[in-house]
Amino acid sequence: MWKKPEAETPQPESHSAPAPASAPQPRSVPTPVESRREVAIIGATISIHGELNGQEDLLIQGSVEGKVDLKQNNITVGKSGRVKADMYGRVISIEGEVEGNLYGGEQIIVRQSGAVRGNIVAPRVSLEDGSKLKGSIDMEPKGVEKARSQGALAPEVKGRADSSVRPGAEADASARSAAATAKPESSTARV
Amino acid sequence: MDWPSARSAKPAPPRAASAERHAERHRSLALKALLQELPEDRSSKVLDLGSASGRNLEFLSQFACKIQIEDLYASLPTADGEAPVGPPPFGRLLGFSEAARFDVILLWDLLDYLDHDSIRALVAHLARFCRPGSLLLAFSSNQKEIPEQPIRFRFVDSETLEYDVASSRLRPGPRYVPRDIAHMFAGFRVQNSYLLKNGIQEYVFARE
Repeated sequence: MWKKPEAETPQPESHSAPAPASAPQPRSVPTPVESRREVAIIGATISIHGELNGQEDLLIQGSVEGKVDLKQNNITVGKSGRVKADMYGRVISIEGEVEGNLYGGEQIIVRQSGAVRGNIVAPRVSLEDGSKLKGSIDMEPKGVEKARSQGALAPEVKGRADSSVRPGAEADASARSAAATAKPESSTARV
Repeated sequence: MDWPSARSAKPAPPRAASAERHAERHRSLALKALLQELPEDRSSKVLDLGSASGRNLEFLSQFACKIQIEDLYASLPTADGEAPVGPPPFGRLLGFSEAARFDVILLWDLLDYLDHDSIRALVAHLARFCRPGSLLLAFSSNQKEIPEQPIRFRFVDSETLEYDVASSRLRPGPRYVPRDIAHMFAGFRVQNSYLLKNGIQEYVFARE
């Protein structure tokens, strides 16, 4: 599950890339300690239906259906991850399968093993050779902000995609296995 | 991946070609002509009916910040089971919203993998999502045999494409002639057409 935790992580703290015009909250300059971000993990046998939100990076190896809202954090859908949900994150990386629209504040990466069926909205989008995508890509700088304010994609962009993305969250060896918080009123988790 | 009913009648069984895989380059005059028409403000909306490619995305992002990728051939009904009758259901396969409008459509060499009726149906469907002046890039081979599946072209620069010649199996080519193709593209006019030495006829169509 954790074959290449750090080598492929897309610089979660880097601010060199063109930030979205609506850059959410400014972050303090990261110290070496702070840069070791903790990652919540949804294990391969975990299935979640509902809405996920929180303040930690997230690695999904299991199944998620509903909505994933971690706008300030990085989300990775691992190779065994299966997501049927709209996902909001800072850097979203997909190695597994996603059916839903992806909104990345900084970047979205669809890895070679990834398959996305849905629309992608992010200032920077990267598709690795071999990845699968069926849907639209919107790299308009204010695209994510616009999508948020409209609560949906632009009319010409009908959401569907199937590809995988892997976020650049660093895998902490002691990462907890379900730190993402699920909204109690709207989600149920079952193992 | 096969679409028997959509293809030219009675394709001969595919035969194996050489087993090695290598990349070849294709100098495309039509691509050059098309790109020269695009504004530099990244305002164009592109519909790519080929498969997803990181290099193509990177290249196209110079001209467009909205790109729709469809991989149409992979979406066509397969030959498994009962063969479908008539053209593929493009309205379902390419289910754009009514408000969608594209400035550029990359059809690549898909024409050679569809029969007349299917091409007409596809063109009619695409025409609904074009503005007057929208451009469509298409290739067609006049060779007797073509690769079993559409070629995955990758951009190298504004007039060069690259593609892998896999250990491909070959199939008979439909060998559409320019006059037939022009008739099948109702609502479009041929803006540029080039016959290359390798037998590829390139087209840039413009929506009327």
